[in-house]
Amino acid sequence: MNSGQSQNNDLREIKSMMEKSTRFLSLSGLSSISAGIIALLGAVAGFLIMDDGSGEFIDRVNLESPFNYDIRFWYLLADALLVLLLASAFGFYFSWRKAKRLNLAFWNHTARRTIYFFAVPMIVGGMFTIILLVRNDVTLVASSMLVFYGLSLFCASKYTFGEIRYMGLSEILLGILAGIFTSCSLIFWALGFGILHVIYGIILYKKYA
Amino acid sequence: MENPISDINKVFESRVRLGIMSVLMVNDWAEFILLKEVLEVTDGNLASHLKSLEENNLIEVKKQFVGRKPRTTYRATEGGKVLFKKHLQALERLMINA
Repeated sequence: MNSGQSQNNDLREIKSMMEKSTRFLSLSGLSSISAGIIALLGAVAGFLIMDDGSGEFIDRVNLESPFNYDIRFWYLLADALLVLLLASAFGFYFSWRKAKRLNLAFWNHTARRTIYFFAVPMIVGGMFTIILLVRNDVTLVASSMLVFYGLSLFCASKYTFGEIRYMGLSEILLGILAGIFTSCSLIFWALGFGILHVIYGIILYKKYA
Repeated sequence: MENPISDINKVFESRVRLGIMSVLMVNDWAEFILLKEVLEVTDGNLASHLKSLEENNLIEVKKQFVGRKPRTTYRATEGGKVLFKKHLQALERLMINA
């Protein structure tokens, strides 16, 4: 090996160690893809729950009418919580698996920092969404979920893959659109939490897996 | 012409020391366990390299107790950062000349 090559190896190693120590590299594209699929299934379930017997498509993607806590409200809530639970579980599982393969400790300081910056906007958003639900003001629920989730991704992106930043901005954009076109918020919700997760999951998987 | 290898620093010549400095360039205070994970080395090996960097005043050490557990963190000194940067620039120059 000539000295140029060995210098080159040194520099590459330095770069990789700087990255490894500052970025959460265990985040898996499969986490995002699985979350997207679960969200799409959840959206289909929501669409079925919203069936008011009229058979009109547009009524069933419109989450704006107050439900007055009828049975559909509770079914939708259970649906949303189930999606959150399953998506988180699968998300953690695939990232944990990737950490094992990369020979990294899963719960290391980069993971803690990423989760911390993700969690702050996420918890605030969760509380705000609960306030909307308690006030039986569901018009902006889909919008607020998308906007706060987008902000969470945006904040966390500094400590993991750069693509996450654009994913966050896309979620925020969809959230704003969901707030303007409230009569079809379920569609924006499915686009943001379903399709976008699948698309970015594939991008991450192809690039980093 | 200036000698391109005059800034190559003997003290950074091991992979472990290079790694320690790389991590400390981008993390303010880094824990022993983080260095160990990133560098994939044994405790003893890492500790001896940390010791020699400390003796050369390239890094500083902070020992604390978190509850009852000791926690040792490390930080690059200003002088250490300057020397390491010069070392990197020298490596890059060597690559161009090679």
